[in-house]
Amino acid sequence: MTPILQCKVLGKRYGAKEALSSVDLQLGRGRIVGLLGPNGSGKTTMIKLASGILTPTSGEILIDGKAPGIESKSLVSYLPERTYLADWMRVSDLLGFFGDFYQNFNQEKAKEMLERLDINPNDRLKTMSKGTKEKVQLILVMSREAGLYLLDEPIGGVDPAARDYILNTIITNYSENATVIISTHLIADVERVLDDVIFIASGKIVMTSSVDEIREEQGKSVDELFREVFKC
Amino acid sequence: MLGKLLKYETKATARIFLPLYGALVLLAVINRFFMAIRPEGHSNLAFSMTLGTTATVYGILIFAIFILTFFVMIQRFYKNLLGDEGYLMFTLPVQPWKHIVSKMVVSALWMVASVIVTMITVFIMALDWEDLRMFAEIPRALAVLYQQMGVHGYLYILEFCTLCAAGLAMGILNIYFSISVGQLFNKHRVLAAFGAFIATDIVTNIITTIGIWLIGHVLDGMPIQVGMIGSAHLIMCTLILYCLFYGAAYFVGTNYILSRRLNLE
Repeated sequence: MTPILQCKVLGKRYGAKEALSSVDLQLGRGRIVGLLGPNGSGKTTMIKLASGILTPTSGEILIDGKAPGIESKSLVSYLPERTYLADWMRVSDLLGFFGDFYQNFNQEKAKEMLERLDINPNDRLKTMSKGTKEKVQLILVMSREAGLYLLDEPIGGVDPAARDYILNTIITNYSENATVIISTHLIADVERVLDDVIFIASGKIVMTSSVDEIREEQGKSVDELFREVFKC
Repeated sequence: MLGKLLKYETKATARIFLPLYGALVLLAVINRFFMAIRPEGHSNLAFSMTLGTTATVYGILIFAIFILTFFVMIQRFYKNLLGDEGYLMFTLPVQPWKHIVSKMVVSALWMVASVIVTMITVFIMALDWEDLRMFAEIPRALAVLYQQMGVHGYLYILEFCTLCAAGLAMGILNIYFSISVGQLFNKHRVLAAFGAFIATDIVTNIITTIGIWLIGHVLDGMPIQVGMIGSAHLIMCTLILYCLFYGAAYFVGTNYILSRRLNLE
């Protein structure tokens, strides 16, 4: 089976600054993967390359064996680290929008989650707090039955109670064959849901491992290992 | 998918334009009303001031609508595709050319709509019922045109409309192309877009000059006889081809950048 995500000597520069260099990586299906690294280590760049809104400077990135394009975009559900929704729209407009463009969008699931988080579908985004907007985005993204979820800082801007709900949403909403990539530096919060981790620093992959391996072989939690590897 | 993009683009822009059009029509009706009840003969200061105010607001609103039509054309492309909202638009499973076409078509339609609404408001203010007969005269005028020029008269109208559409498309695509070139830069993207606009202007002028010289050179010495009617067609068709040629070039360039060189900030 082709890996869901594959990077071959992938590189990206912004002018003189190298954001990613020679990244080689393969991710299988049905895993929840933590993309972990300090600020500015290249996490967002990597996710943006996979979603197709950045073009690599060198090497290639493949989703299900194909370069980013229409097919990969219907397969990938991407949550950016910023608000990308037009704020004049109502939540109900957005449900329609996602349903129109993504065949794998599950309206019922989205409505259910909105109700659970007390978000009124008739509210405009303009009237919502930043945290609520982030919840709406996450709900939209997780209501797609996608093959690959790319979640960039999904819990950065919400309160701890909502964090738990969101993480539970993530683990209960992806299908067995789907892979979820979560980029974050809030490791302690996400650790319990992760199967694998990728440590990234200064645009290079430092380590890839399964969480079980870290616990069994090193006798440490991911959080402890992270602090050790990235000690300032 | 193009249909859906057009639907959402129309929705996103209609909420800006429709209220303005509504306000303009309302002001035209108010102006008409004031002009109708204007006391004749002696001047009434309060009345003149009121009429003066509503007429001025009407004028400002027309100005605002045209500035806004232009501004929205740029802003929808820049903000919705290359700003934060682009994170959503470019992760939709849609070919980039459809984004360009949907933005262009909707912008062009609003430009046309702004002109039509403005004309309607002028009619509201200036026309009597008598004047409305003018519209009934249109078929007769067309018949006269046909009598005098034959099918060429209709062809000129068709060519003129095509030229307007092609020119509008070319102008919009020129701006889209410049904005897209701007996003190739890591910094100062707006400045780079202005630079690109000036640079494309210079380049197209050079190409056009060389083209005219070449065509002139080839045609020189050829025994071609085109009368008045023929040369008018020739000029119109050349202008249409000019717009189509550059419009296509800008479209291909924009599409290349958005599909192969996309780098959202």
